[in-house]
Amino acid sequence: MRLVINWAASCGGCDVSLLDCREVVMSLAEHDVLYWPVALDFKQKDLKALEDKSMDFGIVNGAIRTSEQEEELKIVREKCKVLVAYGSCACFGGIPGLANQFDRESILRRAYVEAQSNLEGQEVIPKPETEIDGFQLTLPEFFDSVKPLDRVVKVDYYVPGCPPSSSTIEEFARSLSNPPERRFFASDKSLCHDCPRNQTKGAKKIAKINRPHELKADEECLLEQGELCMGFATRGGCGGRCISVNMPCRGCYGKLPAMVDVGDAISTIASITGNGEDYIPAPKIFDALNAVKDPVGLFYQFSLPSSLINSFSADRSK
Amino acid sequence: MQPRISILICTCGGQILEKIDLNVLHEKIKDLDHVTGIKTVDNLCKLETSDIRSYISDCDRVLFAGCSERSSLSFNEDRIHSLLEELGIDISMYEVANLREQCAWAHSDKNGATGKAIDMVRMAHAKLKLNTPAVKPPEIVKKALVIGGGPAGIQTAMEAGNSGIDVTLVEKNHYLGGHACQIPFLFQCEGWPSMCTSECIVPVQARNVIFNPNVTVLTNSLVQDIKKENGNFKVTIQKRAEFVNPERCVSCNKCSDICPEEVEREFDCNISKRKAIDKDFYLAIPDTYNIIEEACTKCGECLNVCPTDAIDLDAKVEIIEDTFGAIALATGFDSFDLSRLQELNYGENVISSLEMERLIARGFRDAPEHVVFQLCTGSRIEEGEEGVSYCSKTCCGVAVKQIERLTSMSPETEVSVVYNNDIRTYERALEQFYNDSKDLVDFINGRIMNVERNNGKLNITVESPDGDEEDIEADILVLSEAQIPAASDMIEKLGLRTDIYNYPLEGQPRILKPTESYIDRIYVAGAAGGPKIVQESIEQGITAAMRIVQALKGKKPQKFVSTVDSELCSACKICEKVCPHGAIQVDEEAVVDSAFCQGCGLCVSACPTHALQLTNFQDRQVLEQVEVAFGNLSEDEPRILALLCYWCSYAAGDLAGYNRLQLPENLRTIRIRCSSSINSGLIMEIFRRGVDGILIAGCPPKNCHHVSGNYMTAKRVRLMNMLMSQIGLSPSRLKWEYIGVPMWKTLGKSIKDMDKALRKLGRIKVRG
Repeated sequence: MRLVINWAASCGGCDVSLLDCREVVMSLAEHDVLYWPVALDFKQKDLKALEDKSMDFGIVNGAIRTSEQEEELKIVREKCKVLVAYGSCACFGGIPGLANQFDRESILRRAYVEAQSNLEGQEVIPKPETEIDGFQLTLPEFFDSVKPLDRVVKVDYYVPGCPPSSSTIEEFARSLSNPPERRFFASDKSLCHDCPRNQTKGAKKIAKINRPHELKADEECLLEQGELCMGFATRGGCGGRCISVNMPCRGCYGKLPAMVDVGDAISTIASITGNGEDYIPAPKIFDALNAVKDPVGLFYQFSLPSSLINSFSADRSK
Repeated sequence: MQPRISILICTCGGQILEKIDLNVLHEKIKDLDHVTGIKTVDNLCKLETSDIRSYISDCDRVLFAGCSERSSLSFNEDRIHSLLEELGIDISMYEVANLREQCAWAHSDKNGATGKAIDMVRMAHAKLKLNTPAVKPPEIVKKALVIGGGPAGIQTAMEAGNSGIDVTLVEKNHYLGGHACQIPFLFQCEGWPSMCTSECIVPVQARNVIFNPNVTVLTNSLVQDIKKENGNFKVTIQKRAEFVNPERCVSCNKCSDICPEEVEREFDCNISKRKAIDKDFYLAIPDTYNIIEEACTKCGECLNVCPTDAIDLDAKVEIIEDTFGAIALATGFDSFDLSRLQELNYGENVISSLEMERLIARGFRDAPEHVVFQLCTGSRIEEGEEGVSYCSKTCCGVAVKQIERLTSMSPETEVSVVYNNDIRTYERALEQFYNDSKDLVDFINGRIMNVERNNGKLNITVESPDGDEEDIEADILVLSEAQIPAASDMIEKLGLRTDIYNYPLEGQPRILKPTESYIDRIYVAGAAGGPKIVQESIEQGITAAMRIVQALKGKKPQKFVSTVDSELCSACKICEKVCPHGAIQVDEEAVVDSAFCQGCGLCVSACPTHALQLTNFQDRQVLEQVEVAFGNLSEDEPRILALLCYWCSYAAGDLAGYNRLQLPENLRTIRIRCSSSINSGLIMEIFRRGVDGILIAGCPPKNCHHVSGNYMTAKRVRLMNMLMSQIGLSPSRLKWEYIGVPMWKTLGKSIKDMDKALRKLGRIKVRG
């Protein structure tokens, strides 16, 4: 098996997750890795030198933020028979995708002018081309928004997770030699479906939204205890590694297949928060919800760029 | 089979014709797919069924274009249903393009109105062709279960039984009548200041069920389990051991005479004793003795003296399983636990109002010198105090009635009443009792802060509203205790939604639905629904029985029913949590019992996996309507879609028309189910399809027909507005309004405001 492994806008955790997985490391001996810049000293020219469609698998993690990432992704696509979006950033845009709340100018301004670590009065904003002493310096273009891989090229398989859990990686590694029909290495059912705590879910509503440290019962449904656990709207298959240590699901395995948008979860949360609300005056019904300060961060933590809500042009400059 | 749609357009005696060019309309809709015929008539509502039949030949569904199905006074949905039944067309297979109220009456420009009318017919057509036949309900078992054998329960059982319904009445005590038999003198009614003795009333009432061939009375029994099964209630009843056979017992008292074991008589609030084998009181019905198992030593003495061999000390518990089509909850009330108010020293000579009834019934051995009553004990409390914050309604009246009894038995007894700011002897009769007591009683505004016992007397400290303290010496202190709901376990088993005090909620519109709960065919009668005098409980029993008789005739096919796609269901139980009608149960997957489903769509909007969809109101049908909704509007006009709830808000949209309120022509409306039948993903998808502004309106606060769908959507829109702000979409594109039927002006203003805002913002843009 001939492999290409590349990264784009990502934290590096996905590459580490591959190295962390015994099954993957053991199987590396059987495969030829012809490009993996994180692990070994490869340059883009090495990638370009490969013959088109000569690679069996291209595994790309990270989202597309810059022109260089886009360019390399297109090359990987050309070189590989099968392209795999590896990790939540590649699949849905991931954490870097939260930047899609803002446009390029405001991001660069924030990072290179307003941030306290900048020298006051010195407004140096990186540009694709800069001329210094007669020399032309270039940098990759910083795009206006972050995109998941499938907004740039065709993706054959999705391995979600931030990073993918070892069970998912193992399943994926095993299937390299025998690619499956389904394109998502995750369950088509929600995390609740496999969650041992689901049985404790009852009829009561969430009277108060709590934060993880306020958790009371170790065995009970987190949602029932007022934790905004996104397991109900997230694909299972991760093995429940967060919920097993009392951390609510944040949705890194992505939305369920039939959901119109990750934001469908808003509908659910609005339906189940509040207590005795049939009795209380209308303005007070929002009390429980006031704990939600950042709907994008809560519902779209890993998937803003691939979401429907992100497909609208802004009404005002962001 | 392909749909065959007949379109009937009504000119409404020219009213629609005036504003809409029906020739143009006809021309524009004649090529719609599946249309087998279009007929324009003058007054659809005045036509004979036979005429209508001749106009709509060769079709399996009908599109009416005319007046509002919701608000029309002559051709509304009920009339349409009967018409379709007569025509032999499935009641789901129709849609209405509301050309009169929401088009002809709402717009003055004929061109604009005609364009909109074309869109409206196209919308109705787009939906209608995807409609599916109404869901046939399961067979409803023609048996009713009444839980609780007090006045309300007895009356329900008797009335339903008399109407031929097979009724099982379950009572936990050994006797029928509930608390009413403990109260020797019952108020008659609101209009007549007199009393009747329960020693007459209760046996007369109870005999009516005991000897009713259609009523099975199970005393000393408990409802153990209630499960909904295929539209009915599968119930497990535990009949506790029947040591004395009522068929044989002749109530001769020989067993009791010889029985060596004495226990407290619960019927008498423990102020007297009874034997382990005894009757709770001499007029108890059924007329049989019973054994208190915990007190009986099984010495066998009674066996020796029983002349009819009625006693079986080895009797066992019996489990009865049965299936019912309707249930009446008539479990009455419980008394607030007075021992929780420690300062009042509840106990010897400090008694509850109910205990005072028993004292009055038995008479005082020595006439007390001074009796003090305190009203509102544990009711109308301030936050942080023990008790309930509501008024138990009957207790002021009960107190003045008891004073009347007390002073007529012992005229020399001095009486004081400590009351909480006011005395609530409502209506004519109770106010008369109060007026009659004024000369006999010292009424003190205040509150008892402390009670001490001292040599058989009570030292009572009363604090006035100004904070002045006064000490009173008394023999007896009667505390008018709050009434609280009984049988909360039953409420839970039935899955009834309750208010914050744990009383079951009545279904909306409550004015029209006394005794109905939010769950189909579960009724709440008598004090189980809140404090009542006996006559009111009887009224409720009659009402509940009437409803049961009607309900057990069977259900009609339902147009809107929630269905589950098991491929998509993850069994997360959210739907079970939000269904206000107890129609969903989740084990391996969600299962909707269609007979209980009221098609509100609360589950649909809450289901994160889109496994739940309403028949004839599928997301797809909404989107198909959106696709064609603005076909006759120029590209630069902003598109406004109002999603109006089935009951209140859509009617307000109609009333805007009645009142000729002129609305923007770029408005289209969809009559949705509950305002909470649209989920957030669908809202986003509607935006994506080019709608620039969405207004969702639902019933006003506390008026939702599905408990709190309006609140759910208010919250949904609040979160979505926050989200939209974050990603740079103007929140003014999505609005929520509480719109009651008469609030058409508010609705109109909201639409016009949105129109203005959208014209400033411009069309919504989707990036490539």
